[in-house]
Amino acid sequence: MSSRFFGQYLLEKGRITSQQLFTALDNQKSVTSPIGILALERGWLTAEQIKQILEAQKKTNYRFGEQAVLSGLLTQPQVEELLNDQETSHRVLLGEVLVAKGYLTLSALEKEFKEYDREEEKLSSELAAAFQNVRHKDLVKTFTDLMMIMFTRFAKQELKIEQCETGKDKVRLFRWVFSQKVAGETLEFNCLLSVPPKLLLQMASTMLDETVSAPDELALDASKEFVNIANGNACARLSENGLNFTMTPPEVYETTAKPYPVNAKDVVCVHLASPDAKLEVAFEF
Amino acid sequence: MSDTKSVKVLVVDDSRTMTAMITAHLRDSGFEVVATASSGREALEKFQAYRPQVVLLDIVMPEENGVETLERILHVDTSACVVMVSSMGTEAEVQDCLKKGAKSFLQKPLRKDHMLGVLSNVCERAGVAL
Repeated sequence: MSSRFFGQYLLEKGRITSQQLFTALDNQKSVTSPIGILALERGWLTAEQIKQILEAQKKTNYRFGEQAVLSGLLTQPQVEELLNDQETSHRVLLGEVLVAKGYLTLSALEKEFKEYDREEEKLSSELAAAFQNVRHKDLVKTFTDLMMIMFTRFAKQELKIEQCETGKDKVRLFRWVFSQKVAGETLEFNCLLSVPPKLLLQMASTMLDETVSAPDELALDASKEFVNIANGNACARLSENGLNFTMTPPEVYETTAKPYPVNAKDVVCVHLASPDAKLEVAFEF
Repeated sequence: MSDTKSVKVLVVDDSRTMTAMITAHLRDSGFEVVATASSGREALEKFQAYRPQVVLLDIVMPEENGVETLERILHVDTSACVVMVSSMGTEAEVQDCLKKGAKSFLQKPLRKDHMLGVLSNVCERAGVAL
């Protein structure tokens, strides 16, 4: 069981090459308001209908949305909703670039969106079951959720859960590990965040509000605060259910210089992924 | 907000990132950050040396946590105006700090406008010259 980003899914299925994915990821920041692909993702338009609109546009010079309404394929409120959509997903942007570059046809993209949705739905129910089976599942979910919120809301980094596993041997430590001790009345554990260098710099840049290019002392201090805020906010949320915890400041380990010692018997690992990097949240009970 | 030039603030946080960010926000808004400290012990020393009118005090710090530091500051000056800052903000923690004498509570991540609003209210209530 493993949930994936759309780009990774296309790569694994052999629909695009790694070079095409790399180029597309590199280009997706320049895409703005791809409302045709957004309508395709939502199932409001088919690939065939988008082609019709694009053909008609050549003659009328109307904008895509105007032409779609004129052709009776979208309503005005639908077009407005698409134009106002601030949460354009990673896969819409990627899809737009893949089609624009000629790596995928519109029809193929339509088919892949549907197939991807089917697979993701199946995986998400399997993931829910995986969380259901871990110890302290509410706590694991809350800490994972809040860490993901820090990345998505503040670091503007889309993340998704790939897997949730139990066992010391499942820990996949990346270069930088942040370990924070959390203690409650009946339970004490370490909450770990493990990230590759790229994400560490992104965390530091978010906190310092400037581009950080080296993991110096200030960058590590800023990243520790990033972790501290995420975990502290998780404690705050758990306190709403009567669970009170205290924390000590996080410690940081560079695993290439000094391996992080995973000592606990009970370890729950949540493997996460951004579109181009892996990371992990783990709990040592 | 009124003229805040006369309001002297001590900023306490073990994270240099946070002390720098808070200091920059406060200075931009006319507060005078008289000192910063990165531990409870240092906070107490700076409090005694500078006698700030407001202390922004982090809770999760190594060695001595902010709640213990709050008690020590209030032991020196029962009228000290201390605003706690924490990423946690659990109900129990907020209640504990207010009960012990903190004037207000800010939860991280800090939003500049919210922080300035809270400081302004606290200063007015405490009669700190604004």
